[in-house]
Amino acid sequence: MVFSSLTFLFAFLPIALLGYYLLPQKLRIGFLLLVSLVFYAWGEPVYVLLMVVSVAVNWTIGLLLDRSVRRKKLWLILAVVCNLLLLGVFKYAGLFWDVVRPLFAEPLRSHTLHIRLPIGISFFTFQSLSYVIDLYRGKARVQRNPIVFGAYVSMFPQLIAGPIVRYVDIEQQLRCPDISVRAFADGIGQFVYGLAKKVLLANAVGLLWTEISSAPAASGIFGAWVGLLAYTFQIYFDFSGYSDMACGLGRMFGFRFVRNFNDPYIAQSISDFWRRWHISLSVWFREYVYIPLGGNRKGPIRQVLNLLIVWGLTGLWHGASWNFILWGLWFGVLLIVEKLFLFRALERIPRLLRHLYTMLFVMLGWCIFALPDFSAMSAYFGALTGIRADGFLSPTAAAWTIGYLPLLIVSAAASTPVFAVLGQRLKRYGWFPYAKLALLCTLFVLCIAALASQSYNPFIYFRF
Amino acid sequence: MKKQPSAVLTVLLFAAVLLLVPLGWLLLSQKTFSDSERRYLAEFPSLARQDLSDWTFDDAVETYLADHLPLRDTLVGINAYAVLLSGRQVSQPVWADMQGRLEEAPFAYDENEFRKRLDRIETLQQAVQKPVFVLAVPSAGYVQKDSLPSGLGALYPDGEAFDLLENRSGFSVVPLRERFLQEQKAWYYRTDHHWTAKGVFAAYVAFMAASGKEALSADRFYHHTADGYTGSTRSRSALWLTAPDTLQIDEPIDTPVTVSFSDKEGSFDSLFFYEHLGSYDWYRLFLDGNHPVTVIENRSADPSLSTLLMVKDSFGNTLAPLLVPSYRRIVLVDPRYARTSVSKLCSRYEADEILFCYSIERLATDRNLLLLK
Repeated sequence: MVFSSLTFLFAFLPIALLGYYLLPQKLRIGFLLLVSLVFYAWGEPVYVLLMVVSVAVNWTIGLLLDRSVRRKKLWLILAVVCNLLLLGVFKYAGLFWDVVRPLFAEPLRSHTLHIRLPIGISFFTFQSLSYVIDLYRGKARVQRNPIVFGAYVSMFPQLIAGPIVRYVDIEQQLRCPDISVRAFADGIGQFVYGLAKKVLLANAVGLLWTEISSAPAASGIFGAWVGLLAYTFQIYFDFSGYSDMACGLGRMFGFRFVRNFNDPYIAQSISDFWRRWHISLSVWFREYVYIPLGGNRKGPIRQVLNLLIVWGLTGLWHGASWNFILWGLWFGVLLIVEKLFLFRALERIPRLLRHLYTMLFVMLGWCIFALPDFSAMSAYFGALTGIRADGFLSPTAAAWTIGYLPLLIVSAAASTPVFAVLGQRLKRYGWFPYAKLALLCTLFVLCIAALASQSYNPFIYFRF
Repeated sequence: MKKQPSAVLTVLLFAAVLLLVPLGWLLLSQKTFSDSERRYLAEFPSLARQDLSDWTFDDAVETYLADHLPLRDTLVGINAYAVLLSGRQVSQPVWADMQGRLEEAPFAYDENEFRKRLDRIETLQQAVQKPVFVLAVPSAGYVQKDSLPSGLGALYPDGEAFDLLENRSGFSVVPLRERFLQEQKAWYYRTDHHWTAKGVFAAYVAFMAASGKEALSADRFYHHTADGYTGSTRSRSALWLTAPDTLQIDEPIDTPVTVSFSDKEGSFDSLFFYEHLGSYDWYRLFLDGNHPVTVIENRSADPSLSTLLMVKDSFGNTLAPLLVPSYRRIVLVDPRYARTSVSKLCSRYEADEILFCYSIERLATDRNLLLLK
């Protein structure tokens, strides 16, 4: 079940909210766990058991780790192994087998491995890992109540697409959620804006990408760049829209999740971009991989190695496919180049050029990200560079570009803080809250209208 | 709470929508068919029939809820206008032109696929050894391309398809393209992909000339009209504010007929079935819509008149009535529904001529034409 669906909006959510608020405070967390399991089981009726086992194992190890004096490290290693094994089997076994099977004789050699990926496994295993690691480090307190721990791992707003909520960030709220009319109304606002990003912008602009990526060479050089720009907006509004919906839902249930995006497309460098994009994942890798590996404290060579490891893993986290690893390493190399050589040069050039440099490499990165098939990727790069493009702009691509120009302009504006700044300036006027409410209602109606009409409602980050 | 009335209002409005929609689902009567969209609505999926492991149940429930959403027509219309006003109609199956007409978007043209269909028609001609005519109706968007927003008119592949068609030699092509391009006004309905009576009449004249016969003048037909006609492009586009058309009917004067259908009992003495004016699809008024095989006997025909076998899509249903006075018998076969061999029908009804009457889109893409024999 995705948030941008009628099933969620008008069947699941009303029941979840009604039940949550009608029940006494002490029963609410249990109810949240129950509806979260139903939410997950709706899409994963079999793998929900896998998640329950994962919760049980991490909770038990947490208890054992807390009680232990001399074997803390052992329990930590066990937890890390269990979680990585889970990811390894269900997410990476197919890729691993594809790498090693040429070493075997027939019939093993031609046997392929297809294990269906459980939804959100990368998110809930990373959350569980953050709990046991922080427990080991003494940063978090043990959670003795399995229902509360289960609710933390499986909480439906952030279960399948993040943000990756670290236990230390939500520990207090699990005991005492922040429930108020203001928080609920803020949550509604955040949810509807996220829904609008997903349904009105990402889905719509995604059609432009689908059209052009189906025949990049025939679209012409300019057409290929327009297509890539469309994907650049699609993935941002898709993912940040989902994160906004998750945060908004969290607020409605009394939880405040970390901000996952901070206008990444206004970044002035690749390093800046990654401080603004999927913040919860960057923080996770920094806290639990990069810093433990030594970070930048062990000399430049070790730092380069650490960056390559972290970014290779970041790519791999996004999917068991070589294009994701390549995408991660692409950013790893760019970050290394920036840190070692480019920072000083970047500081000297105008902001606009810094921004153009950043967006150019981010967009090329999205081309790697979007196309798992290397021949399709090379065809697209061929069209972008003009090596394999039929002219500048085909009539079909021109018609699509002209038609989508207003949406691309709105998308570009919505990728900057311009609306937030405008909101801040208008805040002092008495009518502003009502104008905001009217806008919210309009967007909500347009989203429902779009959902009632369209079958094109994919969600890119489900794969992870 | 008094200090934050907008927050309270936000929560109340949101709660109201979240509760009223499910109540609407539960309390309002569920339709099985949508007249406005001209399709059956989804039924609630049976859990047993769905595969739980690949989300098909989830998808089926979503489709059911979307189909039965309270105020669905209004919401679908709002979305259609939002797409239109934001300039994105290029992604839609129906385009609105600057005159307020709704036109089908260009079809996916594959030259090789079209060539295969034309080969089948040539093979049929060789098998039956009768004169074969092909009358292809250009797409409304292609004919009226100057009225479409910038760049869209150039996307129609009709020109390419007609070039291929007109260069074939195994059959006679009724020259319709230039005629339609020259006089493009009011030859298609505003809310439907079909031609108007004027368009049909132009095709009738062109076919009669191509087959060496004299066409009757327009005053040899009664001209009826029915106001309030809304056709397929309006249904598909959901642009509900588009003004309805006037359905035009040309009926031959003093031409008694007997009409029979292969899939319907009895025979009828009219080419027009006015009871369909009360249904969602008025176009079925012509020859009761599409049937596998339709036989029209001209009871007042001179015995010297010939028999025409018309292989057709829905465009043929409006052309056939005009041809009735000029033939003893007209047999219409629709390969989308008929699995009968056309050459056998030709022998059975002793057809003297064969006419393929199709929209250029269906002629180029209909898979049933590949099964022609």
